[in-house]
Amino acid sequence: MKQNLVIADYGCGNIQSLINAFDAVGAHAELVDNPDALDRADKVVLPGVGAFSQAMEKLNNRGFSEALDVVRKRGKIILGICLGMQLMCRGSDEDGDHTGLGWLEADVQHFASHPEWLSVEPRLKVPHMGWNEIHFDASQSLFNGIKDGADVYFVHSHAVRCDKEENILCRTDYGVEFVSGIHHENIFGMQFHPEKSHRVGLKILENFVGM
Amino acid sequence: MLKTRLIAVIILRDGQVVQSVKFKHTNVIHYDAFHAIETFNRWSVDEIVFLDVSREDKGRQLFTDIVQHVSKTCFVPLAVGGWIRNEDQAQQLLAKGADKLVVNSILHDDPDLVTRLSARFGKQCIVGSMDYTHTECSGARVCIDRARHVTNHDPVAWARHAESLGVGEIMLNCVERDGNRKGYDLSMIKAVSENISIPLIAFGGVFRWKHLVEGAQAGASAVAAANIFHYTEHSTKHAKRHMADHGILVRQEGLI
Repeated sequence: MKQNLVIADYGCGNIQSLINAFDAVGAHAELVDNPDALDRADKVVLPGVGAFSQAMEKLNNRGFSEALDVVRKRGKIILGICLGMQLMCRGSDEDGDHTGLGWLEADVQHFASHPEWLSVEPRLKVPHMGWNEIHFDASQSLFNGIKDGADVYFVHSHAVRCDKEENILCRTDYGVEFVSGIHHENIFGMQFHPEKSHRVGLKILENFVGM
Repeated sequence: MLKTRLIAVIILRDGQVVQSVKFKHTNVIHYDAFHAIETFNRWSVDEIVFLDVSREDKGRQLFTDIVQHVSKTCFVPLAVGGWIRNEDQAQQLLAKGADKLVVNSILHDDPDLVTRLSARFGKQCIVGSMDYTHTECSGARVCIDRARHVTNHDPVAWARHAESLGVGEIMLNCVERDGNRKGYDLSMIKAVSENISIPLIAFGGVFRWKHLVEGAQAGASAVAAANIFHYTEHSTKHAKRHMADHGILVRQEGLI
């Protein structure tokens, strides 16, 4: 299926792995650093590595926030990965309080903000780094062909909490149960890195391409 | 819950895969880096570390080329290191496809650079690798430059120092254990992991699968080995099965 699959390059993170992964599943992903190019996109991937506030600043200053919002209102599918997913929320408590894109009713908090997480002995390591299970409903087409409880690769210190159950795409446990995937209308997000999650990750990307 | 990671370490000298024994890298293993990656990609390894021990520029350029080639089909995290001395080099390796950088000597020689790399690329991108040796009179001491220079730093204190500089993980290697087939130095793994809030990768000395189990039980978040994986067919699969059989949570196949 020919589609214009675009990765937003707003200066946050190493995108090469994502391009390689899409290549491996037979999809050509175009890297765009000019927000105007989002106009002709059928699907957009919003990656992200690093600090929430810096990423929001870049998105805002480079005109990506507005352009992405237009894409969202048009009903085109947008996938946020790792920090990219967090940016879609209302805000994050990372280094103070910072406002996100506000596309769904969800917030981002450091693991240490959760008393439940803090009470685990011995104290859990930060960042949450490595392979952990995603639990999801079988009806989620993004996870076709994947076992419930499959491990994917995470690396993050802050986690998402959703106000609404219906926005939860998948959950993961790391001392506290957190939202590891979100879904709202045409917006999707994954806290983990599908491009670094071996065969399971590639299958998820393949499903995403096929949506 | 979070699984214990099994990491395959590939040591390269002048583009060739070599064995490491007490930090001497003379034995060449007769297959190339691409074959190694392909194999590990197929066989359940959770992460791959590429370390360059080349002494000449030509070898180091080869290393960068290998990283670029290999990263195209490496869909697990790839950490690379060896002789990282400046930001441009670091940036180049990441641009060529590395997910993380392994730094060692600069923790001692240029700590500001470590902090700058962490600030620029994120601490999850920086693995602080540290080697130590058991001295005659002072106990365990950190050493640098392939164990040629022994410092006066205690490993636990050094690990905490590295964490304060901004590394996201510690990779711990004991000179005496390297290639010695006796397993990890478990008491040091326990001591270091209890005193840092970041993950610890144990490395050096694995000869039996039980060594990996012991490392995880002692507090390592990830267990790494080099030599052993090169010699046995389907070795990483067997290693994981052994770990799982002994109560260590490890990543399994996730496709239906």
